[in-house]
Amino acid sequence: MTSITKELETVEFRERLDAESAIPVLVFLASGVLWLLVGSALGIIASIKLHAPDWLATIPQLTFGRVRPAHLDVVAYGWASLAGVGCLIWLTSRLCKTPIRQRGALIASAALWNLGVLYGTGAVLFGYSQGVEWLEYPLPAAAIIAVAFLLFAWSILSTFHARQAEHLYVSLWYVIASVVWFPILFVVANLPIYSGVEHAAVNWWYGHNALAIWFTPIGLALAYYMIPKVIGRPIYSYYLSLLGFWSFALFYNWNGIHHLVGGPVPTWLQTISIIASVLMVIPVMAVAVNHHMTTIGHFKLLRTSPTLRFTVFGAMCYTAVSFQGSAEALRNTQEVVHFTHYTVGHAHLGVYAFLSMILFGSMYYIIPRVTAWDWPRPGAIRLHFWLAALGISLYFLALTIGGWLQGMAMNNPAEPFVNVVAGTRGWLILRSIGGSMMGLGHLVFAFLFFEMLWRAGPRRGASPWEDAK
Amino acid sequence: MNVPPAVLLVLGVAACGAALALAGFAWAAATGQLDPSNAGALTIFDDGDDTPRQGARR
Repeated sequence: MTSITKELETVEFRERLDAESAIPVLVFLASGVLWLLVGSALGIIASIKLHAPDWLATIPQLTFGRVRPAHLDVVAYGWASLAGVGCLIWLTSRLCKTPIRQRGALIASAALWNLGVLYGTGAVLFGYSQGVEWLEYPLPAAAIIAVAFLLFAWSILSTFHARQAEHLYVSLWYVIASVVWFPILFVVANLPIYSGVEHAAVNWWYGHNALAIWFTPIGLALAYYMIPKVIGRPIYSYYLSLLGFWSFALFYNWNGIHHLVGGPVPTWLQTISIIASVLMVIPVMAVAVNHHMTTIGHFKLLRTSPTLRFTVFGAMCYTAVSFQGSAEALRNTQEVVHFTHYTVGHAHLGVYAFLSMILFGSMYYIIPRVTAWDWPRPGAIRLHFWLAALGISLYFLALTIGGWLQGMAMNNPAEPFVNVVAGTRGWLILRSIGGSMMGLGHLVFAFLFFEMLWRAGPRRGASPWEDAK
Repeated sequence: MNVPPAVLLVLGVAACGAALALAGFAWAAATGQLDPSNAGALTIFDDGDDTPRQGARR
Protein backbone atom coordinates (compact mmCIF):
# COMPACT_ATOMS: atom_id res chain seq x y z
CA MET A 1 0.00 0.00 0.00
CA THR A 2 1.43 3.39 -0.98
CA SER A 3 1.54 6.20 1.54
CA ILE A 4 -1.01 8.21 -0.50
CA THR A 5 -3.46 5.26 -0.54
CA LYS A 6 -3.02 4.82 3.18
CA GLU A 7 -3.60 8.53 3.76
CA LEU A 8 -6.74 8.48 1.62
CA GLU A 9 -8.05 5.56 3.69
CA THR A 10 -7.32 7.56 6.83
CA VAL A 11 -9.25 10.53 5.42
CA GLU A 12 -12.19 8.33 4.40
CA PHE A 13 -12.29 6.73 7.86
CA ARG A 14 -12.23 10.11 9.59
CA GLU A 15 -15.01 11.38 7.31
CA ARG A 16 -17.05 8.29 8.13
CA LEU A 17 -16.63 9.01 11.86
CA ASP A 18 -17.85 12.59 11.32
CA ALA A 19 -20.77 11.45 9.15
CA GLU A 20 -21.92 8.83 11.66
CA SER A 21 -21.97 11.33 14.51
CA ALA A 22 -23.64 14.03 12.38
CA ILE A 23 -27.31 13.56 13.32
CA PRO A 24 -26.92 13.40 17.12
CA VAL A 25 -24.33 16.19 17.03
CA LEU A 26 -26.58 18.48 14.98
CA VAL A 27 -29.67 17.69 17.07
CA PHE A 28 -27.84 18.67 20.27
CA LEU A 29 -26.21 21.74 18.72
CA ALA A 30 -29.46 23.00 17.16
CA SER A 31 -31.24 22.56 20.52
CA GLY A 32 -28.40 24.44 22.22
CA VAL A 33 -28.63 27.34 19.77
CA LEU A 34 -32.40 27.67 20.27
CA TRP A 35 -31.99 27.70 24.06
CA LEU A 36 -29.21 30.27 23.66
CA LEU A 37 -31.71 32.65 22.06
CA VAL A 38 -34.29 32.01 24.82
CA GLY A 39 -31.64 32.38 27.54
CA SER A 40 -30.36 35.62 26.01
CA ALA A 41 -33.85 37.13 25.91
CA LEU A 42 -34.48 36.17 29.56
CA GLY A 43 -31.04 37.53 30.56
CA ILE A 44 -31.62 40.88 28.86
CA ILE A 45 -35.08 41.22 30.45
CA ALA A 46 -33.62 40.44 33.90
CA SER A 47 -30.77 42.89 33.35
CA ILE A 48 -33.01 45.77 32.26
CA LYS A 49 -35.27 45.19 35.27
CA LEU A 50 -32.35 45.95 37.57
CA HIS A 51 -32.30 49.59 36.42
CA ALA A 52 -35.93 49.88 35.23
CA PRO A 53 -37.79 47.80 37.84
CA ASP A 54 -41.28 48.80 36.69
CA TRP A 55 -40.79 47.37 33.21
CA LEU A 56 -43.03 44.30 32.67
CA ALA A 57 -43.73 44.34 36.40
CA THR A 58 -47.43 43.56 35.91
CA ILE A 59 -46.74 40.17 34.31
CA PRO A 60 -46.05 37.68 37.12
CA GLN A 61 -44.12 35.29 34.82
CA LEU A 62 -41.70 38.09 33.91
CA THR A 63 -40.93 39.43 37.38
CA PHE A 64 -37.23 39.54 38.27
CA GLY A 65 -37.44 36.72 40.83
CA ARG A 66 -38.58 34.32 38.10
CA VAL A 67 -36.82 35.62 34.99
CA ARG A 68 -33.38 35.68 36.56
CA PRO A 69 -33.31 31.99 37.67
CA ALA A 70 -35.00 31.00 34.40
CA HIS A 71 -32.14 32.74 32.52
CA LEU A 72 -29.51 30.94 34.59
CA ASP A 73 -31.14 27.53 34.14
CA VAL A 74 -31.75 27.96 30.41
CA VAL A 75 -28.17 28.96 29.65
CA ALA A 76 -26.74 26.28 31.98
CA TYR A 77 -28.94 23.26 31.20
CA GLY A 78 -30.15 24.39 27.78
CA TRP A 79 -27.44 26.24 25.88
CA ALA A 80 -24.13 25.30 27.54
CA SER A 81 -25.03 21.68 28.33
CA LEU A 82 -26.71 20.80 25.04
CA ALA A 83 -24.11 22.53 22.86
CA GLY A 84 -21.38 21.02 25.05
CA VAL A 85 -22.83 17.52 24.68
CA GLY A 86 -23.02 17.97 20.89
CA CYS A 87 -19.34 18.94 20.76
CA LEU A 88 -18.30 16.13 23.14
CA ILE A 89 -20.07 13.47 21.05
CA TRP A 90 -18.07 14.53 17.99
CA LEU A 91 -14.84 14.86 19.95
CA THR A 92 -15.17 11.45 21.62
CA SER A 93 -15.70 9.72 18.29
CA ARG A 94 -12.66 11.49 16.83
CA LEU A 95 -10.39 10.78 19.80
CA CYS A 96 -11.48 7.16 20.24
CA LYS A 97 -11.19 6.66 16.46
CA THR A 98 -14.50 4.82 16.70
CA PRO A 99 -17.97 5.57 15.32
CA ILE A 100 -20.16 6.95 18.07
CA ARG A 101 -22.13 4.19 19.82
CA GLN A 102 -25.78 4.16 20.95
CA ARG A 103 -26.95 6.80 18.49
CA GLY A 104 -30.60 6.00 19.25
CA ALA A 105 -29.95 6.61 22.94
CA LEU A 106 -28.40 9.97 22.04
CA ILE A 107 -31.50 11.06 20.13
CA ALA A 108 -33.67 9.96 23.07
CA SER A 109 -31.30 11.86 25.36
CA ALA A 110 -31.67 15.06 23.30
CA ALA A 111 -35.48 14.74 23.32
CA LEU A 112 -35.61 14.16 27.09
CA TRP A 113 -33.09 16.91 27.80
CA ASN A 114 -35.15 19.44 25.83
CA LEU A 115 -38.30 18.25 27.58
CA GLY A 116 -36.61 18.64 30.99
CA VAL A 117 -35.40 22.17 30.23
CA LEU A 118 -38.79 23.18 28.79
CA TYR A 119 -40.69 21.77 31.77
CA GLY A 120 -38.24 23.13 34.33
CA THR A 121 -38.07 26.62 32.84
CA GLY A 122 -41.84 26.80 32.42
CA ALA A 123 -42.24 25.74 36.05
CA VAL A 124 -39.79 28.41 37.27
CA LEU A 125 -41.55 31.12 35.22
CA PHE A 126 -44.94 30.06 36.64
CA GLY A 127 -43.63 30.16 40.20
CA TYR A 128 -42.95 26.46 40.85
CA SER A 129 -39.27 26.77 41.73
CA GLN A 130 -37.36 24.80 44.35
CA GLY A 131 -35.87 28.14 45.41
CA VAL A 132 -32.29 26.83 45.44
CA GLU A 133 -29.80 28.57 43.13
CA TRP A 134 -28.77 26.35 40.19
CA LEU A 135 -31.33 23.75 41.38
CA GLU A 136 -34.54 25.70 40.76
CA TYR A 137 -36.09 23.09 38.48
CA PRO A 138 -38.77 20.95 40.18
CA LEU A 139 -37.71 17.38 40.89
CA PRO A 140 -39.55 15.76 37.94
CA ALA A 141 -37.74 18.11 35.51
CA ALA A 142 -34.40 17.39 37.19
CA ALA A 143 -35.13 13.65 37.02
CA ILE A 144 -35.85 13.89 33.27
CA ILE A 145 -32.52 15.70 32.74
CA ALA A 146 -30.71 13.10 34.88
CA VAL A 147 -32.07 10.27 32.69
CA ALA A 148 -31.06 12.22 29.56
CA PHE A 149 -27.56 12.65 30.97
CA LEU A 150 -27.26 8.95 31.77
CA LEU A 151 -28.22 8.05 28.18
CA PHE A 152 -25.54 10.44 26.91
CA ALA A 153 -23.00 9.00 29.36
CA TRP A 154 -23.90 5.47 28.20
CA SER A 155 -23.10 6.43 24.61
CA ILE A 156 -19.81 8.10 25.52
CA LEU A 157 -18.67 5.24 27.76
CA SER A 158 -19.71 2.63 25.15
CA THR A 159 -17.69 4.46 22.51
CA PHE A 160 -14.77 4.73 24.90
CA HIS A 161 -15.00 1.01 25.67
CA ALA A 162 -14.93 0.17 21.93
CA ARG A 163 -12.14 2.64 21.17
CA GLN A 164 -9.57 1.85 18.50
CA ALA A 165 -7.14 4.53 19.68
CA GLU A 166 -4.38 3.18 21.87
CA HIS A 167 -3.47 6.44 23.53
CA LEU A 168 -5.97 8.54 25.45
CA TYR A 169 -5.43 12.15 24.39
CA VAL A 170 -5.72 14.62 27.30
CA SER A 171 -9.10 15.93 26.08
CA LEU A 172 -10.52 12.44 26.53
CA TRP A 173 -9.49 12.46 30.20
CA TYR A 174 -11.64 15.50 30.78
CA VAL A 175 -14.57 14.07 28.79
CA ILE A 176 -14.62 10.72 30.57
CA ALA A 177 -14.13 12.30 34.00
CA SER A 178 -17.01 14.73 33.49
CA VAL A 179 -19.51 12.10 32.29
CA VAL A 180 -18.72 10.01 35.38
CA TRP A 181 -18.63 12.90 37.88
CA PHE A 182 -21.56 15.06 36.83
CA PRO A 183 -24.46 12.58 37.08
CA ILE A 184 -23.36 11.65 40.62
CA LEU A 185 -23.23 15.32 41.58
CA PHE A 186 -26.54 16.20 39.93
CA VAL A 187 -28.48 13.30 41.46
CA VAL A 188 -27.03 13.67 44.98
CA ALA A 189 -27.60 17.45 45.04
CA ASN A 190 -31.22 17.04 43.91
CA LEU A 191 -32.14 14.50 46.60
CA PRO A 192 -34.95 15.99 48.72
CA ILE A 193 -33.28 15.21 52.05
CA TYR A 194 -31.50 18.45 52.99
CA SER A 195 -32.57 21.36 55.13
CA GLY A 196 -31.20 24.52 56.71
CA VAL A 197 -27.49 25.24 56.69
CA GLU A 198 -26.80 21.73 55.47
CA HIS A 199 -28.87 22.53 52.37
CA ALA A 200 -26.88 25.72 51.79
CA ALA A 201 -23.62 23.75 51.93
CA VAL A 202 -24.92 21.11 49.49
CA ASN A 203 -26.32 23.89 47.30
CA TRP A 204 -22.91 25.54 46.80
CA TRP A 205 -21.07 22.24 46.68
CA TYR A 206 -23.32 21.60 43.66
CA GLY A 207 -23.39 25.16 42.26
CA HIS A 208 -19.65 25.48 42.03
CA ASN A 209 -19.11 21.91 40.93
CA ALA A 210 -21.55 22.31 38.05
CA LEU A 211 -18.92 24.74 36.73
CA ALA A 212 -15.98 22.72 37.97
CA ILE A 213 -16.71 19.19 36.85
CA TRP A 214 -19.14 19.71 34.00
CA PHE A 215 -18.62 23.04 32.21
CA THR A 216 -14.88 23.42 32.76
CA PRO A 217 -13.98 19.94 31.46
CA ILE A 218 -16.08 20.63 28.34
CA GLY A 219 -14.21 23.87 27.69
CA LEU A 220 -10.76 22.48 28.44
CA ALA A 221 -11.30 19.27 26.43
CA LEU A 222 -12.30 21.33 23.40
CA ALA A 223 -9.50 23.91 23.84
CA TYR A 224 -6.86 21.17 24.18
CA TYR A 225 -8.08 19.75 20.87
CA MET A 226 -8.91 22.87 18.84
CA ILE A 227 -5.85 25.04 19.55
CA PRO A 228 -3.15 22.53 18.47
CA LYS A 229 -5.35 21.14 15.70
CA VAL A 230 -5.98 24.48 13.99
CA ILE A 231 -2.42 25.70 14.44
CA GLY A 232 -1.04 22.33 13.29
CA ARG A 233 1.39 22.15 16.20
CA PRO A 234 1.28 19.70 19.13
CA ILE A 235 0.51 20.98 22.60
CA TYR A 236 3.60 22.58 24.18
CA SER A 237 4.02 20.12 27.07
CA TYR A 238 1.86 17.06 27.12
CA TYR A 239 3.17 16.07 30.54
CA LEU A 240 2.11 19.44 31.92
CA SER A 241 -1.38 18.83 30.56
CA LEU A 242 -1.60 15.55 32.51
CA LEU A 243 -0.33 17.27 35.66
CA GLY A 244 -3.01 19.89 35.05
CA PHE A 245 -5.73 17.25 34.77
CA TRP A 246 -4.85 15.37 37.94
CA SER A 247 -4.37 18.48 40.06
CA PHE A 248 -7.67 19.77 38.65
CA ALA A 249 -9.32 16.49 39.71
CA LEU A 250 -7.79 16.75 43.17
CA PHE A 251 -8.52 20.39 44.06
CA TYR A 252 -11.49 21.70 42.12
CA ASN A 253 -14.37 19.83 43.76
CA TRP A 254 -13.52 21.29 47.21
CA ASN A 255 -14.08 24.89 46.08
CA GLY A 256 -17.84 25.31 46.49
CA ILE A 257 -18.05 26.39 50.12
CA HIS A 258 -16.10 29.57 49.34
CA HIS A 259 -19.54 30.88 48.26
CA LEU A 260 -20.51 30.75 51.94
CA VAL A 261 -17.48 32.52 53.44
CA GLY A 262 -18.78 34.57 56.35
CA GLY A 263 -21.97 32.51 56.46
CA PRO A 264 -23.24 30.18 59.21
CA VAL A 265 -21.24 27.12 58.14
CA PRO A 266 -18.30 25.69 60.11
CA THR A 267 -15.15 27.81 59.75
CA TRP A 268 -12.97 24.74 59.04
CA LEU A 269 -15.20 23.91 56.07
CA GLN A 270 -14.78 27.44 54.68
CA THR A 271 -11.01 27.32 55.26
CA ILE A 272 -10.61 24.01 53.41
CA SER A 273 -12.52 25.50 50.50
CA ILE A 274 -10.39 28.67 50.46
CA ILE A 275 -7.17 26.59 50.49
CA ALA A 276 -8.44 24.39 47.65
CA SER A 277 -9.45 27.50 45.69
CA VAL A 278 -5.93 28.91 46.01
CA LEU A 279 -4.40 25.54 45.08
CA MET A 280 -6.34 25.76 41.81
CA VAL A 281 -3.50 28.03 40.69
CA ILE A 282 -1.54 24.82 39.92
CA PRO A 283 -3.83 23.29 37.25
CA VAL A 284 -4.67 26.73 35.89
CA MET A 285 -0.99 27.58 35.43
CA ALA A 286 -0.48 24.23 33.69
CA VAL A 287 -3.30 24.95 31.24
CA ALA A 288 -2.34 28.60 30.76
CA VAL A 289 1.32 27.84 30.04
CA ASN A 290 0.37 25.07 27.64
CA HIS A 291 -2.16 27.07 25.66
CA HIS A 292 -0.04 30.19 25.51
CA MET A 293 3.16 28.41 24.54
CA THR A 294 1.29 26.44 21.86
CA THR A 295 -0.26 29.57 20.38
CA ILE A 296 2.79 31.83 20.61
CA GLY A 297 4.17 32.71 17.18
CA HIS A 298 0.84 31.82 15.51
CA PHE A 299 -1.33 34.73 16.56
CA LYS A 300 -1.70 35.82 12.93
CA LEU A 301 -3.93 32.77 12.42
CA LEU A 302 -6.52 34.46 14.63
CA ARG A 303 -7.34 36.65 11.63
CA THR A 304 -8.28 33.75 9.36
CA SER A 305 -9.58 31.08 11.73
CA PRO A 306 -12.84 31.79 13.58
CA THR A 307 -12.28 28.61 15.57
CA LEU A 308 -8.94 29.82 16.85
CA ARG A 309 -10.21 33.37 17.43
CA PHE A 310 -13.04 32.21 19.70
CA THR A 311 -11.08 29.40 21.35
CA VAL A 312 -7.99 31.44 22.21
CA PHE A 313 -10.23 34.20 23.59
CA GLY A 314 -11.98 31.56 25.72
CA ALA A 315 -8.72 29.96 26.86
CA MET A 316 -7.32 33.35 27.93
CA CYS A 317 -10.51 34.04 29.85
CA TYR A 318 -10.21 30.64 31.57
CA THR A 319 -6.88 31.78 33.00
CA ALA A 320 -8.37 35.13 34.00
CA VAL A 321 -11.51 33.74 35.62
CA SER A 322 -9.58 31.07 37.51
CA PHE A 323 -7.05 33.49 39.01
CA GLN A 324 -9.88 35.86 39.81
CA GLY A 325 -11.75 32.98 41.48
CA SER A 326 -8.76 32.07 43.65
CA ALA A 327 -8.42 35.70 44.77
CA GLU A 328 -12.16 36.09 45.23
CA ALA A 329 -12.28 33.12 47.63
CA LEU A 330 -10.05 34.90 50.17
CA ARG A 331 -11.83 36.26 53.23
CA ASN A 332 -10.55 39.80 52.73
CA THR A 333 -11.91 39.92 49.18
CA GLN A 334 -15.21 38.35 50.22
CA GLU A 335 -15.68 41.10 52.79
CA VAL A 336 -16.05 43.51 49.88
CA VAL A 337 -17.55 41.53 47.02
CA HIS A 338 -20.04 39.24 48.75
CA PHE A 339 -23.67 40.06 47.84
CA THR A 340 -22.55 42.45 45.08
CA HIS A 341 -22.73 42.50 41.28
CA TYR A 342 -18.99 41.66 41.20
CA THR A 343 -19.80 37.94 41.60
CA VAL A 344 -22.21 38.07 38.66
CA GLY A 345 -19.41 39.50 36.50
CA HIS A 346 -17.12 36.67 37.62
CA ALA A 347 -19.75 34.04 36.78
CA HIS A 348 -20.20 35.46 33.28
CA LEU A 349 -16.45 35.55 32.74
CA GLY A 350 -16.54 31.79 33.37
CA VAL A 351 -19.69 30.58 31.66
CA TYR A 352 -19.64 33.07 28.79
CA ALA A 353 -16.15 34.45 28.11
CA PHE A 354 -14.50 31.08 28.76
CA LEU A 355 -17.01 28.31 28.02
CA SER A 356 -19.42 29.85 25.51
CA MET A 357 -16.64 31.38 23.41
CA ILE A 358 -14.92 27.98 23.21
CA LEU A 359 -18.26 26.37 22.31
CA PHE A 360 -18.75 28.91 19.51
CA GLY A 361 -15.21 28.29 18.23
CA SER A 362 -15.64 24.53 18.36
CA MET A 363 -18.97 24.70 16.54
CA TYR A 364 -17.32 26.73 13.77
CA TYR A 365 -14.89 23.81 13.41
CA ILE A 366 -17.24 20.86 13.89
CA ILE A 367 -20.32 21.81 11.87
CA PRO A 368 -18.59 22.01 8.45
CA ARG A 369 -17.08 18.59 9.14
CA VAL A 370 -20.35 16.87 10.01
CA THR A 371 -22.40 18.57 7.28
CA ALA A 372 -19.68 18.60 4.58
CA TRP A 373 -20.66 22.23 3.86
CA ASP A 374 -18.70 25.34 4.68
CA TRP A 375 -19.85 28.44 6.53
CA PRO A 376 -21.41 31.24 4.50
CA ARG A 377 -20.67 34.91 5.21
CA PRO A 378 -17.21 35.23 6.81
CA GLY A 379 -18.14 38.85 7.57
CA ALA A 380 -21.06 37.71 9.73
CA ILE A 381 -18.74 35.36 11.65
CA ARG A 382 -16.45 38.30 12.38
CA LEU A 383 -19.47 40.37 13.45
CA HIS A 384 -20.53 37.56 15.81
CA PHE A 385 -17.06 37.48 17.36
CA TRP A 386 -16.80 41.21 17.93
CA LEU A 387 -20.33 41.55 19.31
CA ALA A 388 -19.68 38.67 21.72
CA ALA A 389 -16.13 39.73 22.69
CA LEU A 390 -16.88 43.44 23.14
CA GLY A 391 -20.25 42.68 24.76
CA ILE A 392 -18.81 40.39 27.43
CA SER A 393 -15.86 42.75 28.00
CA LEU A 394 -18.19 45.68 28.65
CA TYR A 395 -20.44 43.48 30.80
CA PHE A 396 -17.55 42.14 32.87
CA LEU A 397 -15.81 45.49 33.40
CA ALA A 398 -19.07 47.24 34.35
CA LEU A 399 -19.98 44.62 36.96
CA THR A 400 -16.43 44.22 38.27
CA ILE A 401 -15.87 47.95 38.84
CA GLY A 402 -19.48 48.67 39.78
CA GLY A 403 -19.65 45.63 42.06
CA TRP A 404 -16.45 46.55 43.88
CA LEU A 405 -17.64 50.13 44.45
CA GLN A 406 -20.98 48.73 45.61
CA GLY A 407 -19.21 46.46 48.12
CA MET A 408 -17.05 49.30 49.44
CA ALA A 409 -20.14 51.48 49.87
CA MET A 410 -22.07 48.70 51.62
CA ASN A 411 -19.22 48.31 54.10
CA ASN A 412 -19.52 51.99 55.01
CA PRO A 413 -22.09 52.22 57.85
CA ALA A 414 -22.53 55.95 57.23
CA GLU A 415 -23.77 55.35 53.68
CA PRO A 416 -27.57 54.95 53.39
CA PHE A 417 -28.44 51.72 51.59
CA VAL A 418 -30.64 53.51 49.07
CA ASN A 419 -27.60 55.54 47.96
CA VAL A 420 -25.68 52.31 47.39
CA VAL A 421 -28.49 51.00 45.19
CA ALA A 422 -28.71 54.28 43.26
CA GLY A 423 -24.92 54.24 42.78
CA THR A 424 -25.08 50.96 40.88
CA ARG A 425 -27.57 52.21 38.28
CA GLY A 426 -25.03 53.48 35.73
CA TRP A 427 -23.06 50.25 35.89
CA LEU A 428 -26.24 48.21 35.48
CA ILE A 429 -27.16 50.17 32.34
CA LEU A 430 -23.69 49.35 30.92
CA ARG A 431 -24.38 45.71 31.82
CA SER A 432 -27.61 45.80 29.81
CA ILE A 433 -25.78 47.31 26.83
CA GLY A 434 -23.09 44.61 27.01
CA GLY A 435 -25.71 41.89 27.39
CA SER A 436 -27.67 43.24 24.41
CA MET A 437 -24.52 43.19 22.28
CA MET A 438 -24.00 39.52 23.19
CA GLY A 439 -27.68 38.84 22.42
CA LEU A 440 -27.30 40.48 19.01
CA GLY A 441 -24.23 38.33 18.37
CA HIS A 442 -26.31 35.25 19.23
CA LEU A 443 -28.92 36.25 16.65
CA VAL A 444 -26.17 36.51 14.02
CA PHE A 445 -24.78 33.12 15.09
CA ALA A 446 -28.21 31.44 15.08
CA PHE A 447 -28.88 32.84 11.60
CA LEU A 448 -25.55 31.47 10.36
CA PHE A 449 -26.17 28.12 12.07
CA PHE A 450 -29.55 27.57 10.50
CA GLU A 451 -28.22 28.78 7.15
CA MET A 452 -25.64 26.00 7.47
CA LEU A 453 -28.41 23.48 8.00
CA TRP A 454 -30.02 24.82 4.80
CA ARG A 455 -26.63 24.50 3.07
CA ALA A 456 -26.36 28.18 2.19
CA GLY A 457 -22.56 28.13 2.12
CA PRO A 458 -20.14 26.55 -0.35
CA ARG A 459 -19.73 22.77 -0.45
CA ARG A 460 -16.77 21.69 1.62
CA GLY A 461 -13.96 19.86 -0.16
CA ALA A 462 -14.33 16.17 0.67
CA SER A 463 -10.62 15.89 1.33
CA PRO A 464 -7.40 17.88 0.97
CA TRP A 465 -6.75 15.88 -2.20
CA GLU A 466 -9.96 17.18 -3.77
CA ASP A 467 -9.00 20.72 -2.81
CA ALA A 468 -5.78 20.29 -4.74
CA LYS A 469 -7.63 19.33 -7.92
CA MET B 1 -21.54 13.32 68.03
CA ASN B 2 -24.79 13.41 66.09
CA VAL B 3 -23.88 13.67 62.41
CA PRO B 4 -26.87 14.36 60.13
CA PRO B 5 -27.50 11.55 57.59
CA ALA B 6 -27.26 14.02 54.69
CA VAL B 7 -23.73 14.97 55.74
CA LEU B 8 -22.81 11.27 55.87
CA LEU B 9 -24.25 10.83 52.38
CA VAL B 10 -22.26 13.73 50.92
CA LEU B 11 -19.08 12.59 52.67
CA GLY B 12 -19.71 9.05 51.39
CA VAL B 13 -20.14 10.29 47.84
CA ALA B 14 -16.97 12.38 48.15
CA ALA B 15 -15.05 9.35 49.46
CA CYS B 16 -16.33 7.18 46.59
CA GLY B 17 -15.35 9.92 44.14
CA ALA B 18 -11.84 10.11 45.62
CA ALA B 19 -11.51 6.31 45.43
CA LEU B 20 -12.67 6.40 41.82
CA ALA B 21 -10.11 9.09 40.99
CA LEU B 22 -7.33 7.12 42.67
CA ALA B 23 -8.36 3.98 40.78
CA GLY B 24 -8.29 5.99 37.54
CA PHE B 25 -4.84 7.30 38.32
CA ALA B 26 -3.54 3.80 39.13
CA TRP B 27 -5.05 2.45 35.90
CA ALA B 28 -3.51 5.30 33.89
CA ALA B 29 -0.08 4.67 35.41
CA ALA B 30 -0.34 0.88 34.89
CA THR B 31 -1.35 1.19 31.21
CA GLY B 32 1.36 3.69 30.27
CA GLN B 33 -1.03 6.62 29.75
CA LEU B 34 1.21 8.86 31.89
CA ASP B 35 4.13 8.63 29.49
CA PRO B 36 6.25 11.73 30.20
CA SER B 37 7.32 12.09 26.54
CA ASN B 38 5.36 14.42 24.25
CA ALA B 39 4.35 11.51 21.97
CA GLY B 40 0.74 11.58 23.18
CA ALA B 41 0.35 15.13 21.90
CA LEU B 42 0.84 13.91 18.32
CA THR B 43 -2.08 11.48 18.38
CA ILE B 44 -4.59 14.06 17.16
CA PHE B 45 -2.65 14.63 13.95
CA ASP B 46 -3.05 11.23 12.31
CA ASP B 47 -6.55 11.60 10.85
CA GLY B 48 -5.76 13.51 7.65
CA ASP B 49 -7.58 16.61 8.90
CA ASP B 50 -4.54 18.72 9.58
CA THR B 51 -3.05 19.42 6.16
CA PRO B 52 -2.62 23.19 6.12
CA ARG B 53 -4.50 24.70 3.22
CA GLN B 54 -3.95 28.20 1.92
CA GLY B 55 -6.78 30.49 2.96
CA ALA B 56 -8.75 27.68 4.62
CA ARG B 57 -11.20 28.79 7.26
CA ARG B 58 -10.62 26.30 10.02
